[in-house]
Amino acid sequence: MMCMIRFFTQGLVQVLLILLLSTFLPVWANQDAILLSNTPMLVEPSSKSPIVTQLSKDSPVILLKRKGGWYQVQTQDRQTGWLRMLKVRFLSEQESNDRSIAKILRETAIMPPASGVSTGVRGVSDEALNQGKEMSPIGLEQLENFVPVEEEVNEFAQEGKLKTQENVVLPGK
Amino acid sequence: MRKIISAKLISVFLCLLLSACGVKIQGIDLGRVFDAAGKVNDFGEKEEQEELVLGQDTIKSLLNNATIYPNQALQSYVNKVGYWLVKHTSRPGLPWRFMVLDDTSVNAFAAPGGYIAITRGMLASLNNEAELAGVLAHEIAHVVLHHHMNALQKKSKTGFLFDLAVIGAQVGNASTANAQGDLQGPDVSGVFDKAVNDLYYRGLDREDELKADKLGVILSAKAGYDPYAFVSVLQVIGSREGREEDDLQRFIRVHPSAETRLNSLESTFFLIDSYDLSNRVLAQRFRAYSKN
Repeated sequence: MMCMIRFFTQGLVQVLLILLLSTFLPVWANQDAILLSNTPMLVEPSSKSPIVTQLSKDSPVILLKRKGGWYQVQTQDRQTGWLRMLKVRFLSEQESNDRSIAKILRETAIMPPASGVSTGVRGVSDEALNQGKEMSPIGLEQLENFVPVEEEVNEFAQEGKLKTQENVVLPGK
Repeated sequence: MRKIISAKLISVFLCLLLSACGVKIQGIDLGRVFDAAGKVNDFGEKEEQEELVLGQDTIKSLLNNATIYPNQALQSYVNKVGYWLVKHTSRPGLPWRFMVLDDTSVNAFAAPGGYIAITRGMLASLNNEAELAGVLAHEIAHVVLHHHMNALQKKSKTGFLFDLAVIGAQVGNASTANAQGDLQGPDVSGVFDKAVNDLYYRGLDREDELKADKLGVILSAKAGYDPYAFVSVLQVIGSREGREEDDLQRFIRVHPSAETRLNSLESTFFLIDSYDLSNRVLAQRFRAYSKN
C-alpha cells in the first residue's frame, strides 16, 4: 500500500514538474525543424567551435534551446550540437506528423513536451493576458495616459539592464 | 497616362468649381484641398504636422472595428518598450502611441505619425520582451521610413485616393472645430475609410516589409535587445503559414512569407554578428507584465 502511495506521489510530482517546465518553455522548444542547406553542427554556439558532424540539407532535427543566433539541436542519431538559427526551417504540425523519425525523436526527446503540441504559437496564454484585465474601456484619446516620461523609460531600461549599443549604427543616421 | 490626365482634368475642374462655389465640408475649403492634392510632388514634402493629422484619421478609421484592450498595466508596459526603442530612431520626437488591441488574431500594424498597434493575439504568441521589441521595432521602422505615407502618395498618381485621404483627414480634424454653417461630410469620410481599409487590407509593398524587417532588427540590437528574437517570431509564424488558421490569415495576407523574410535578413545578421552585443531577452519581465 505504502509502495503504491509512494509510486503515485512520485508520478504526481513528475507530472507537476513537467507541467511547470512546459509552462515556461519557449514556443520553439522541442520544435521539429529541417535544415535549409548542408551545415556543420558545432560543439559550441560559436563559428570558431569544433564541428560535431556535418548535416545535410533537409535533415530533421529537434530544437532544444536557443542562445543568441544559435539553436541547440538533437539529430535523428541523438547527437546534440549547435546550428545557426537561420539555417533551419520549422516544420508545420502536419509536416511533423508526416515525418516518423522526427515524431519518434520528439517522443523520446530530452526536453519535456511543450503541452503536447510540437508546433503552434503558445507563448503567454490568453487566460494569462485576461488576468488583471480592467474593464473600463480605453479611448484613443486616453492613450496619452500611457506615454511614459523620459525618466520612466530610462528607469525601465535600467531595470531590464538594457543598454544602448553604441557600436550599432542605424542605416541613414 | 490617359487615366492620369483625366484624373488631373477632373481635379482641376472640381477645384475651380468648388472654389468658385466656396463649398466647404465641416470647415475645409475643398477648392484649396483639391488644389494642394492635385500637386502630387507636394505630398512628398508634406510636413510632419500633416502626417500627424493623416495618421490620426487613419488610426481612427482602423479602430472602427477594434477596441483598445482595457488592461492599463499592459498598455503602459508596451508603451515603455516602444518608447525605449523609438529613443534610438531618427524620429524620437514624434508623439508615438503604442496600443494593445482587444483582438485574438495575430497581428501588428503601424499608422503614419507614430501609431503602433499590436493585438493581444500577437502578444499571447510571444515568449519574451525581446520578441515583443522585435515586432514593435518592425512597425516603428514603417513609420520612420514613411512607408504608409509613400503608399498613399503612390496611389494618388493613379487616382483620387490621396485627395480623398487628405479630405478625410481634414474632415476628421475639423469635426472637433467650429464648423458653423458647413455641410456634413459623411460620404467623404466613408470613402476615406474605404481607402485606408483598402491599403491595410492589401498591405504595403513587399520591399517595404523587408526594409522594415532589416531596420527593425538593427533597432532592436541598438536598444540592447536580442535581435535574433525576431527570427524566432518569424520561424514560428512560418510553421503556421500552410494552415487554415483564421487568427493568422490577416497577418499572412499583408506580409511576405516568413521564408522570404528570413532569407532577406541573412545579410543583416551577418552585420549583427560582427557586433559584440548585450542581447537582453527578458522573458520573466514579459511574463510578469503580461500576466499582470
